[in-house]
Amino acid sequence: MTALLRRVADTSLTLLLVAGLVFALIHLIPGDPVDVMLGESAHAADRAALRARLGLDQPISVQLLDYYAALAQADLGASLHQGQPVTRLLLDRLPATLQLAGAALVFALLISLPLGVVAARFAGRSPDRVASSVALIGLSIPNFWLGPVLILVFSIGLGLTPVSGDEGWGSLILPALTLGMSLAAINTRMVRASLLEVLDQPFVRTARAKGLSPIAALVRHALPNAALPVLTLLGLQLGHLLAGAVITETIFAWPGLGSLLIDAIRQRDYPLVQGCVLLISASYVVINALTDTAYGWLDPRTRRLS
Amino acid sequence: MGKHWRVMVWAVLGLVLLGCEGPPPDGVRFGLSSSPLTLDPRFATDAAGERIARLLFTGLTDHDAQGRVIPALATWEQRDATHYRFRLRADRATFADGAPLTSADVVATYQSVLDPATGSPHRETLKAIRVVAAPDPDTVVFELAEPDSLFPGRLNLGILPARQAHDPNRLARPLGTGPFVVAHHDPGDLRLRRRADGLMIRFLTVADPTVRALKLVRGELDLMQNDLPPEQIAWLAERRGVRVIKAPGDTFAYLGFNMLDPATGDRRVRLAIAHAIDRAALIRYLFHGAARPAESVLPPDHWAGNPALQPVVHDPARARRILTALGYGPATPLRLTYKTSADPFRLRLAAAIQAQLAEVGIAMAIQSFDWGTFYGDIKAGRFQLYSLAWVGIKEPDALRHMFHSRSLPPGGANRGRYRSPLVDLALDAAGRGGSRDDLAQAYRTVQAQVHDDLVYVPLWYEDQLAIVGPRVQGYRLRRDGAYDGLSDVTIRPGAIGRD
Repeated sequence: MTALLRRVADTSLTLLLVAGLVFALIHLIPGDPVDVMLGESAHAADRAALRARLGLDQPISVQLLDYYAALAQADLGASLHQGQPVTRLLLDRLPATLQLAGAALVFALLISLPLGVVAARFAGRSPDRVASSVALIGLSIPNFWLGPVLILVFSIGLGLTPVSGDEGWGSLILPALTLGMSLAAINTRMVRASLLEVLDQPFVRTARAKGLSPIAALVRHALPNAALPVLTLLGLQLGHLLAGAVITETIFAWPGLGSLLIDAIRQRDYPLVQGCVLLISASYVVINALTDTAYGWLDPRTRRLS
Repeated sequence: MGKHWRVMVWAVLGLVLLGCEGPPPDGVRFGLSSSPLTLDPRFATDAAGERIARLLFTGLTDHDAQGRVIPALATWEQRDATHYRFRLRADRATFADGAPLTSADVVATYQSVLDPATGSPHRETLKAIRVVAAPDPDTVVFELAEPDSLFPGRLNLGILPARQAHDPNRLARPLGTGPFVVAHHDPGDLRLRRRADGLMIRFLTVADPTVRALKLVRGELDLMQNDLPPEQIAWLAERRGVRVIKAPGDTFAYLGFNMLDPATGDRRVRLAIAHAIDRAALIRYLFHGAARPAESVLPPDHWAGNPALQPVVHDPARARRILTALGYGPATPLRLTYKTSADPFRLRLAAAIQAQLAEVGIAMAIQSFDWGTFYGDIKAGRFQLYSLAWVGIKEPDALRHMFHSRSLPPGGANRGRYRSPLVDLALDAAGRGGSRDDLAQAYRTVQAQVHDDLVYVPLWYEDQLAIVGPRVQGYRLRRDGAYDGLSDVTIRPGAIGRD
C-alpha cells in the first residue's frame, strides 16, 4: 500500500515537472498566438485587448500558477484558436491514435515473435543471420521514407489499401506497418537475446528430457520465461508509439494526437500544446505502471520481491 | 501453434481485403495541404480558410482580375467623402437555410467585426467605419470617420445572418449566401454541398505533398491546387487521366532586406545581389516555367500597377565589380545570413540563390526555422536577408502597410525598417483620397521609388496550378488562387473512382 502511494506521489511529481517544463518551453520559443490570430496589421490596442482576454498579459509566473491551479481541477483550459475545451479536442483525437498505436504494436508482435524465435532456435546459422538482417533493415528505415514506399507498393502498385486518411480498417494497415516496423526490429533482437538466455537454463533441458519436442519446449517453457524483458520493452514502446506517431500521422493524414500537436505548435496554441504533451507524458507514466503490474502477473517471483 | 498462426494470417489478409472495397465516391474530393483554421468569415485569415469562406459567403463587393472593385451583394453610391450608400441587389441569394438576407444581417456582421471584444483580425481594415445602419431592408449606409477612397474594396467580408453574427465566438457551421453550404466538419475532413445541385465537395487535408500526389493518382482525390513541388507536378502531368491546368497568378515572391543592417542597408550591396540573381534560370529549373518575372507587389495590369518598371538584369560581372569597389574580395567575402521557413521547396530555392550569390563572391549562410519562429524573427527585424511572398494583394494601400515608415511591425509589415520621405509623402497623399487616376499615379510613384531603392529584390509571380483527376471536369483557375471554380465543376459522365 505504501509502495502504491509512493508510486502515485512520484508519478504526480513527474507530471507536475513535465507540465511546468512544457509550459516554459512553449512560452520561450519565438512566435505569438495573438499575431497568428489578428495578423500583422492589427492595432496595438486590439492586440493588447486580445492578449488580456486570453490572459497572456500576465507575468509568466502568474500564468504558470494559474495553469497549475486549473490543472489541479483537471481543467486543461480552452484552445486559443478554436475556443473549445482542450480536454474535448484531446478526447476527439485520442481514439484514432490509440487505434493506430495498438495496431502498430500488434504488427510489431506478429513480425518480431516468429523472427525472434527463428533467430534464437537457429542461433549462429543462416536463418538467424537472415532474421537479424531483416531486423536491422527494419530498424534503419526512417518512417518518412517507409510510409511513401509502402503506399507506392501496396496502394499504387497492388491497389490493395487506400493511400491515406481514416477510411475504415483498410486505411489502418499501412500506417500501422510503418509505425510498427522499427518496433518489430527492436523486439526481434530482444526476443532472440532473452530466448537464448533462457534456452540454456536447466528447466528447458528438463522439458526436453521429459520427451517434449524442441518446438514444444520452446513455446511452452522457454517463451513465457523470456517474455519479461520483452514485455518491459513493449510497455516503453507503447508510450513511444503515442508520442512518436507524429510523423506517421502526418504522412498518412491520420486524424490523431500527432497531427493535432503539430497544428497546435504551428499556431502557437499554448493550452493545446500543453494538453497534448501532458497527455503523452501521462500515458508513458501510466503504461510503465501497468507494465510493472503485468510483471507480477507473468512472473510470481517479482510479486514476492515487492 | 500452427493453428494460431493460420488464424493470424487470415486476419491480416482479411484486413487487407477490407481495404480494397470502400463506399462509392461521393462527389468531388479536393486535397488541401492544411486545414482551414476557421470557416467563420469574421476570423478567417489563412489562405485555405479565406478561399473556402468565399464558397460559403458573399460580401457586399468583390474584385475583378485587375483589382477593380465590382458589386457582389450590393451596388453603391458615394454620397460625399465619408458617406456610402449600398443597395442590396434584388436578385441576391438567400441564406443556405432559406432565410432572406436583409440589411440587418449586413449591419450585424459589420458591428460584430467592429466590436473589439470579438477580436476579429478584419477590424483594422474596417476601423474607418463610424456608423453602419440599415434605413430599410435593402439599404445599408456607412458613415466614415475619415475619407477613404478605397472603402468599397474593403467590404468583401462574408455576410452572416444577424442571429449568428450576434454570437462573438467562432462559428463551427456558419451560414452564408454563397453557392455552398457546410454539410459536415471534422478534423481534416470538411464537406460542402453545392446549393444548386447538391454536388458534394469533400476537402481532405493531406499535409505530405508526396502522399497528396499519390492519392490523386490512385483516385482518392480528384482535385488539388498548388502546394506541390514542381517536379511532382511534372510527374503527375505524365500520369494517365491526370491533367495539369495552369493560369498566371498574383502571388508575389521577393527577397527582403534589413535596412538597419550595415551590409544589407547599403543600396550598392542590394544592387550587387540583384545583379547576381538569375531569375530566368530559377524560374526555368526550379519552377519548370510556372512563374513569370515580377517587378512590384502589384502586377503591371493591376489598375494601380506600374508597367514602366525596368528589371535589374542578371549581370554577375557587374555584381563582382560593385562588391570589389566596396572592399569585398576573395580574402574578405561579403558574409550574409538568409532566413527561410522549413518548407523543402523554399529551402531548395534558398540553396539555388546561395549558389548564385557564391558565384559573385558572396558567402551566404542559410538558416531555416519552423514557420512561427521564422515569421517571429522577420517581424522582430532579426534578419539580414529573407524570402517571403505576398498572397492575395488586391487593394494598393497594402503598399502603405509594407513601405510607410510608420508601418513598422507589430502595427505594419515594413519588416525591413525602410524609410523614404518621398514614399511616405506619396502614400500619405494617396491616403487622403482623390480620383482613381490620382491614386494610381501616387501608387506608381511609390512602386517606382521602392523598386529603385531595392527594398525588395522582386522575384516572380507564381502561377496557379491545379491538378485534375479523370473524374472531374470544368474546373477553372483564378489568378488569386480562390477555389471559386468549384461552383462550375462537374463529375464526368460515367466516371468511376475509389474512395
